Amino acid sequence: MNIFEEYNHKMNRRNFLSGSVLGLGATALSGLMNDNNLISNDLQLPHFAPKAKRIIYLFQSGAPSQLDLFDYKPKLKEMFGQELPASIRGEQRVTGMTAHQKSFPLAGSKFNFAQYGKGRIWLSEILPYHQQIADEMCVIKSMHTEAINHDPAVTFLQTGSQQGARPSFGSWVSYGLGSENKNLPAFCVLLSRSNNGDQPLYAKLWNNAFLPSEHQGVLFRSGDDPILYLKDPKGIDKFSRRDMLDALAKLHKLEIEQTLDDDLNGKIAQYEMAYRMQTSVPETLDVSKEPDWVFDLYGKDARKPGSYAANCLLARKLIENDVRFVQLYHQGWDQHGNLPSEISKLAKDVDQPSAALILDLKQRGLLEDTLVVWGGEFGRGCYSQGKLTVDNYGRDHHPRCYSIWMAGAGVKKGYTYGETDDFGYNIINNPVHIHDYQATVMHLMGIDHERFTFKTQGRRYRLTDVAGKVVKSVLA
Amino acid sequence: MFLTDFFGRLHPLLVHLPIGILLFAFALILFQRFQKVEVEVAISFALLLGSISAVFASAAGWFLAQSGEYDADLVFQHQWMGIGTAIFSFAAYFFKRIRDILTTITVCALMVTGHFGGNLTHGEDYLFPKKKSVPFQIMPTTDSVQQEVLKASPAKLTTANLKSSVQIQPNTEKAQRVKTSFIFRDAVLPILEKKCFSCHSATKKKGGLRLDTEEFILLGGKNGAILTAGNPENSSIYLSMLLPEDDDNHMPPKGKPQLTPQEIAVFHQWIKQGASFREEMKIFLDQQEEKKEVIENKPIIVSAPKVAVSPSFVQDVEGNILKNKMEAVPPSLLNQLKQQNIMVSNFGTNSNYLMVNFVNVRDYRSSLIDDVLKLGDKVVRLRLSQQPVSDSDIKKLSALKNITRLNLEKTAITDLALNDIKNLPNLEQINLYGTNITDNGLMELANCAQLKVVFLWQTKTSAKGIEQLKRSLPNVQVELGGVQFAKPDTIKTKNLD
Repeated sequence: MNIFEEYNHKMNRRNFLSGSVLGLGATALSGLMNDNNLISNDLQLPHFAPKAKRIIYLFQSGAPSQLDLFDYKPKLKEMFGQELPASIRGEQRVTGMTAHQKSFPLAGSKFNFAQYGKGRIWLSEILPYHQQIADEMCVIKSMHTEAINHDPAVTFLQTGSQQGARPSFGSWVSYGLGSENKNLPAFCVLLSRSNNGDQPLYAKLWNNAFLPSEHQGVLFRSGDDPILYLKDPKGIDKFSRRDMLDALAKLHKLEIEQTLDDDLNGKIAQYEMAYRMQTSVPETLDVSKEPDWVFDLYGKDARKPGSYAANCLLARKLIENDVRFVQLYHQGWDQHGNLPSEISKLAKDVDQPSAALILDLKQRGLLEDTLVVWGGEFGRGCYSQGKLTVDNYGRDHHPRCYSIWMAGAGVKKGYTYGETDDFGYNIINNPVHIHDYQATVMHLMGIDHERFTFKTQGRRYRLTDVAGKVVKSVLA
Repeated sequence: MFLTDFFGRLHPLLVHLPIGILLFAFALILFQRFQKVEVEVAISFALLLGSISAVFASAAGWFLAQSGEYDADLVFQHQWMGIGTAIFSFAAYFFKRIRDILTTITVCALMVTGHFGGNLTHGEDYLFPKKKSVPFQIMPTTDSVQQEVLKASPAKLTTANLKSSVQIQPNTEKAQRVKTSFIFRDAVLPILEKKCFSCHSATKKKGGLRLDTEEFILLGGKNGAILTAGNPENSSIYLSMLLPEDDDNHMPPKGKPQLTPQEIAVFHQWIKQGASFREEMKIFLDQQEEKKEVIENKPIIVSAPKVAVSPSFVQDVEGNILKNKMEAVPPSLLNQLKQQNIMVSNFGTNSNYLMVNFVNVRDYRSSLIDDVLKLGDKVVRLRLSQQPVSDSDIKKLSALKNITRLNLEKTAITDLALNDIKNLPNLEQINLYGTNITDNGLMELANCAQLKVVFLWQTKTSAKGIEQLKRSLPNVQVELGGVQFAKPDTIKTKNLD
């Protein structure tokens, strides 16, 4: 930019600000905040009538074993302990954790499977509560990804790139569709875990990257203080807080004039959002008035703040208040060894609350326009990692195929899509790549993933990079 | 001539004799020189044996070359280097004084010959693979996105990739926009390169067939044309892939990397669509997928008990409304609603129909409904959840003829509010959960012909009332809620507690 252009630019901005009828405060409050009015939305979103207005993403971090939960493979039991045929494995790379193994003995799931619901959905015995939502589930058994380790795989699923530095799914949706409820963030994040010392998660997973910063996910913590430093300190009342924020906004505007730094607009928006959240968040997250039967439904853990069950309940409350994107993460599915006992524990933590969430949304009429997704970042292998015994085995990472399920707005009910081979190793029918899956969820939100881009550093970016195909077969 | 052909085919076997024996002779010479031992007799014998085997190898090679399956230039080099090797080895045998030098030359010639031979058999870039340039003119594609895909992953031009870049767009406005692709360049050629070129290209033309350029593919091989455009079943290139692997005519031959079913499908599709080398073609992979699914579904439908088809929303009534033209809402009105915290969103870029949501309204008053009424037929969905709406407010809504979904959950309405509900001819869903609606209110709903879902959890309705409603509207789905988990059907969920 040459100096004249820059001068012009500044002058325009100054003119704009001083000429605005309501002055600085009004610009700060209305135009630059989360603009809720989609009709004046520059992005022209949604592209078409959305089937889902809200998403709850139940992310099962660590990669749950599809072979012990959804993808029933009797062949593995039949051939228990035999070598994985080389023709099946092909030239697949395995992680350093099993690359040294001289033998790849097939490990059939220790658990029994049966089919449920009118769609005959296969479910393992460790997901007994899922049986009762089988008629709502749309299971995709043919997910596949490119990454083989947790961080790149989670990052890939969440941002469309293994390297990160791209906006999270929720940030894209927040940026594209905004928030219906202007008192709550459009993109909320809740964390839980079954064990200590699991694969870590990082704030980059719910980061806005190059999108305006008000679209980053807001992490809700468990306990009295769901969002740190949200409460006013002692001695500060609401009015002085308001004055302080107005003054701060003025200072920011001055800074914007000088530096032309658009990020500061995001900052103003976030301060305003935080101010509104001071009342809305305690209200929304208060579970003390929930009747007992709710806790019976979600399980007794729902009373324990920070548990998966409690987070599922919070997710329902946020969705009830029209939050756009609720992202849960449950850590602990990374069972390289002692899988049977470990996965039983995880399944027990997750089974009932997940099913309860679906049923609870359904009875409130929220499942009509809310999409729920349940799944991890990749699958687990059909051969044992480490020693295989009759009732103990481990499973290494397996990106070639895995299962997830969706339920709710716009997806088929009681339906299974995709198929893996008898070893649960390769996909033989209807593969769904991460980008395909992202494109599909975008489609359900009324967004054409190819047209939804953000230009930065000289090129246009999108969640699905340069790939992705809507899986129309799963659409209702 | 069968005998000469047979002898020719022994060439790959025979060549290894001079290679081994002559190298051994050379090793003996080095051994003699550095270990100072006398093995002259052994050296002579090895050289003689090596020379004779070299002659046989050369002769066999000459017969093999007569088959014409190999690149003439490469054969020329290999042939004369081979003959040279034989001559030098004989020379080394006879001229004992300069035997060391002659043997060294022989060994060098031997290696070069072997290298050329390897090139003939395995292809020139077997030893040092280089990126092959596509021998076809690359034409500009119309679809920049597709080009990006190609650029981003030149190494992965697989069918899966093709599938993802080429698709029928989920575009409601232009419903049947079919994308096209250079199927030969992007799908067929990479397969040929990977699985066929080693025997059917410039360096080696088994059966007189080359597959590396358009002209040669059209020319066919010794047995004539291999391609009938539009008719895969009449194209030997396709048929040979389908033959059982044990069949002599199966291609690629047993032991070589085989084509995957997807790759064979690519050939089928390419030939079926006219086997063009340059034109873009439509890809119908998606449709095939759909068809497959219908078949897959069948047993499920048959075995399942008769289940009422749950209505799919957004289609039908609402979909039909959205298809009609509607003028845009005046900005001043929008602004007015926005000032009052009424959230208004649209159904897409080209739609002027609206969803209205009161989630942000903190100070509800009846006048807000009057403001919404100004939007008229543009309102398709209205959400008044948890607002203190009065019965008379709801009665006013009968002016909004296009409402398909109405959310009144947790409001204070009574049966009176539903008195005029029949005036909403397009109502598909109504959420009444957490209200004081009784069976009397339900009776009013019986007049909504399009009604598909009613949410009645935590209302004062009774099973009898619901039954009555279902008699009038047999297809209506009633969500009664109050879900509790039945004792899960645990097969063996032991050791969990």
